Amino acid sequence: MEYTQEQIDGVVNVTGAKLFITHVLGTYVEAVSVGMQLSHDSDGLTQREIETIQGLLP
Amino acid sequence: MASISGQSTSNIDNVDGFFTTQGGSGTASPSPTFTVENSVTYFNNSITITNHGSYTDPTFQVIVERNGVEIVNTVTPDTSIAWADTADVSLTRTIKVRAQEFGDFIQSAEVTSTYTKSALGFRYFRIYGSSNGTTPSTGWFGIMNFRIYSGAGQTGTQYPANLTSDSSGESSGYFVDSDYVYSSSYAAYKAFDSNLNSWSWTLSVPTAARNYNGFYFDPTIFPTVPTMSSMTFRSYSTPSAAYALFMASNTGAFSGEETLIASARINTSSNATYNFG
Repeated sequence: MEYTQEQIDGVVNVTGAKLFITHVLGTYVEAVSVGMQLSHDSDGLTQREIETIQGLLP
Repeated sequence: MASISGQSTSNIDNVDGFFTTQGGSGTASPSPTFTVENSVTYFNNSITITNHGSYTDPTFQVIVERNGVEIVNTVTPDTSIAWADTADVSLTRTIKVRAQEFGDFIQSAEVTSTYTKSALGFRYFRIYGSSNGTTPSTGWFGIMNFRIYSGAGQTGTQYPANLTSDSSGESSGYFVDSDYVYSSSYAAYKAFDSNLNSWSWTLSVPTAARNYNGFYFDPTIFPTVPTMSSMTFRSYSTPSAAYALFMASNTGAFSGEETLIASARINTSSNATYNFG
């Protein structure tokens, strides 16, 4: 799956860079995983999707 | 010595103190006792050895026969012994269990039990997300594909037929049975389309009772439900649910009358397919 810079930025803005990097380096972070899927599928994040990701933050 | 006059030697051991295989302790291991998980099953079954503690380093041989034809043969030291029954549904199965303790050269006498494999004659089918493998929970999950087949081994007619929307199968008698999806991007029918890259998703499902997706056969078009024997399920990766529960009902109430026909542990880090029957 390929992502645009905007899709990645949208997720990082919600999860924070530290969690995002943690996930990218191999430690599964549900909020990042779900966020990337939502961001990809809707080409950006809606307010509801942002709240969903925030609800998954550790 | 494998047999005498066509009779397996292990069946005639210890007749009047005679053993066909000599050595080791010279005595047969004690007979196993066990319970059978399901007297009627749809796909899998298992036994639990209940006198495991009375042995020292035992192994158990489990043979399952259908009409005298062996369909399972496994040897294990485990207390719980499970198997997939992929043979046709008709005819009773016979379970034959023997124990052999370390140091004994002779297996125990054979202990038998039976069970029946039943076809999936239900009208409603749902998959629920679960944290414990027995009851639904709010752990979300995604269904990339869920189909039931008329034949064993995912062969024959596929139910439901491919859907292109939540209502596209209704004229053919296939109704989507869902109470929650995260958004229209993850609509319920995407569990039943032919696209293995799309899925229905219960992300953020508010209650365990709504954490399902499935389908049912319209009673007008299907006054008698088809006879089905096998099933496939493809799970979207890293669900928060640990298990998928496969429930079936004839009323659609799912208020206690439903039958748990199978379960699968699904907390894998990648998409995964699970076949039953």
